[in-house]
Amino acid sequence: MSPGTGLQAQLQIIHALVLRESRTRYGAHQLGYIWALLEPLFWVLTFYGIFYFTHRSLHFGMDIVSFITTGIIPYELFRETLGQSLNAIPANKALLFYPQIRPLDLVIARLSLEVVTLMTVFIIIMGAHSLYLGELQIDNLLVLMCGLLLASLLGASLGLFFSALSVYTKVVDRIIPIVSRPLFFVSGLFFTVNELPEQARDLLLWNPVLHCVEMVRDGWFRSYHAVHVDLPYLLSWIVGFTYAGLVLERMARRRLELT
Amino acid sequence: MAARDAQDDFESLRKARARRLQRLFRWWVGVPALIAVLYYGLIASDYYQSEARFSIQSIDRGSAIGLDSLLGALPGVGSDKDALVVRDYILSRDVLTRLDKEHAFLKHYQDSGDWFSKLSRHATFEEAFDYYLSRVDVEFDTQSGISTLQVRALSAEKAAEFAGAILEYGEQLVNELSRRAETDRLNLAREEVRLGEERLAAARNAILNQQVVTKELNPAESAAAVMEIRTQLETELAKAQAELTEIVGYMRPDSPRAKALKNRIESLNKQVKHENRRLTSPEDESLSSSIAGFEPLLLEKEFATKAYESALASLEVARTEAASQHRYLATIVAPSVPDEATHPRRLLDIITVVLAAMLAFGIGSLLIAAVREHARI
Amino acid sequence: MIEARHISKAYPMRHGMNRVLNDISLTFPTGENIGILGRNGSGKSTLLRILAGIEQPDAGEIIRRRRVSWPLGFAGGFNGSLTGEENTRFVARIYGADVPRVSRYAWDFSELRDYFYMPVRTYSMGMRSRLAFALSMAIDFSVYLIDEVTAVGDKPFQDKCRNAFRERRERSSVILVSHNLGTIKQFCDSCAVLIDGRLQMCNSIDEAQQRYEAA
Repeated sequence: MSPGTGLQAQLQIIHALVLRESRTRYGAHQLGYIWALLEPLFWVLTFYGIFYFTHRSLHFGMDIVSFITTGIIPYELFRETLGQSLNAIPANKALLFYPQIRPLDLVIARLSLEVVTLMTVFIIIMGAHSLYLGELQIDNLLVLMCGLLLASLLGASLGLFFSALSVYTKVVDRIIPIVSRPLFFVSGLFFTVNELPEQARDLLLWNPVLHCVEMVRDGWFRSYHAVHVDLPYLLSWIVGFTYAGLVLERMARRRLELT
Repeated sequence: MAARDAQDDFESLRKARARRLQRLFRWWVGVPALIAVLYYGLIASDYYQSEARFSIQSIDRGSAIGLDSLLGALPGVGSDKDALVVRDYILSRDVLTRLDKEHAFLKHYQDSGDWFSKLSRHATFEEAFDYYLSRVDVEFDTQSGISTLQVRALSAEKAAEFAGAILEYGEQLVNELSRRAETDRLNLAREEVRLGEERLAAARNAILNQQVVTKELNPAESAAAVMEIRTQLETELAKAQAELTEIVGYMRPDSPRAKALKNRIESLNKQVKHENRRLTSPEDESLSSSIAGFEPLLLEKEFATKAYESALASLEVARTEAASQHRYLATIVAPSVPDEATHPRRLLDIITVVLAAMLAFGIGSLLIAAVREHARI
Repeated sequence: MIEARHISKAYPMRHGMNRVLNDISLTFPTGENIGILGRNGSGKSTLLRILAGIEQPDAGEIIRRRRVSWPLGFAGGFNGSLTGEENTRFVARIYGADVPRVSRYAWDFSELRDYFYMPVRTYSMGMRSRLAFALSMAIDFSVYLIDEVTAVGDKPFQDKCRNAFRERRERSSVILVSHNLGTIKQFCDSCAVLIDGRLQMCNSIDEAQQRYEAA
């Protein structure tokens, strides 16, 4: 088969997988898809309340809803893609019975669903908010999209690595939840890098998720310029873990067959 | 053969589906990409961006009160609020009107430029204002306190010209607001001084009148003088009485010396009584009543003097403070004259369009398929 | 038609490598239902998986000229929380088949009636197998790989399957793997025996029986 048709066939399979995934995750009850929207909305409202009552003053030009949403969505993109990639293969072992379904397809399908869902949520929340405000301001759409995509890729690459790693050791399952808790606080959901004192800033910038959040904020707000975003650093995380993940996955493939 | 038919059947179905997807892709992504390339590659006209930086400075930042307190807002950190005030002004219809009148701003964008990015000749003022906002940006960096002005126009010179004009207007606003703040304070202080003068003059006049009426220049002094006289008289009286007592001891009471002394004592007594009467008597003409009349006037003059002095001092303070509160717009970087057109960012914008279209396609197609799936069952 | 060339597969065991499949080469022609007889643990399921393409051999290759099914048997591959119909549509999609047609055919063949629209986790083992088989019939493969057909269902359904296979003899064939000779006799024309990692084609089923019992 030529690469063109091969790719198409692959896309069709992933398409089928995504539909099945969405049915499994959201189709069970009537609320289904709305739940995907509710969770980020819940965070938005919670932090709206907290910010409001603590009179936290935001960076010039930012309003609370946009500030929270531009922080939460990239973080969720990272966290969900990581979690879903970890889980994709074990949860869908049975599907590997079908020869045209590769383990990678399972991962990609889950990732696609998460990314599509969260991007839609982003558009819905920001769209509704812009309608309410009566104006739509996006400083740099390219940077905004890149921030969101890179957050997804970061989660995916780490997910790939850890899912391959989990074939060898069960520790992975325990470490991930432990690490993701503090990550919630240091990924820039509640602060911007520019307002941090220097030592805190240098320390926190080791967190690649923070860079993604900063990019999304830079892309949305005209008055915010994320001068501390280190794109090569972020990309090296992604490339590094992807490479390591693919290598590890190759090695783990035999182990997978036995189980 | 039958086997081959079954196989081909599936292959053709798969191809059909693939073709449909391809077609959708071509529409959703290919067409926007093509349009973007055409527009940004061929049609879009060059815009030059001139950039200037400024900040609002004051001589003394100590107890700075914002210009905006004039506008009724709460006082805040001086330069932050000032910069925002200037920004608001720059992005206002007033500035557009002025720019258009003095520099033919709108005409510049109506005469040239590609069809999509130019301003229509039939544009209403509101539309023109929206257009203005899309060509002029003011961003304020809270950390450095510096505002950046960016103006995009179809030629480098025009962009710099507009930017320079805008800076000028901003400067005028700052000076005007600053001056108003100064004069308001000074006027207040001056008014205080004027009132003080009036009061002092009134007090002086009252004293003068009183002096005329009572024919006394200074009753207190007069009273003191009178008392001294009386004291002297009383002293002499006592002396004379003592002498009399003394000579009565060894002289006859009707001796000439005794008689002379008796006469003297009598006249001294009369004089003392007279002086006493001068000091106090039930009628208004006595000194004590004069003093009583003068005292409040003198007190008033003292207060009026003090009040006047303090008003003068306040005026001085107001002057120095006003001078130090004086604000001015400092141009840190003058409007640049770019040598190449940086806008629109053609390649990046094309990539943005393609990426956005691909994302929209991916999201949209999955959503639609999922909704269709759900709707079926 | 499906062909195995020099297939070898070994699994690491505690005491060295276990050569499950040892240089197996065989052509399975279209139109002939072939059975593979082997004891439990002899590697017949592994061979089936390799033929299907869901497991890779250590050496050798499989040439597939036509559409090959997934290993039918214990009805893996179904998502319990989805209904029979949803699972059917999914499988139809990944094979690029006409989804409504496959769905209708599967409903009809499986005789599940209302259960077709209920979650698969409510099915019994027999019902799952029926759905799996109905589905594979609907997609119309050229080669059907079947692992231990005993789980298919009751006798009437087994008969139905056998008849269906017979109808398609022209264009599809069955490769049936089992340790039960009776099953193979039911469905297959010829038989091979898998002993000690080696696959030997036999001239008749009786011969296969002899060899199998001798090992």
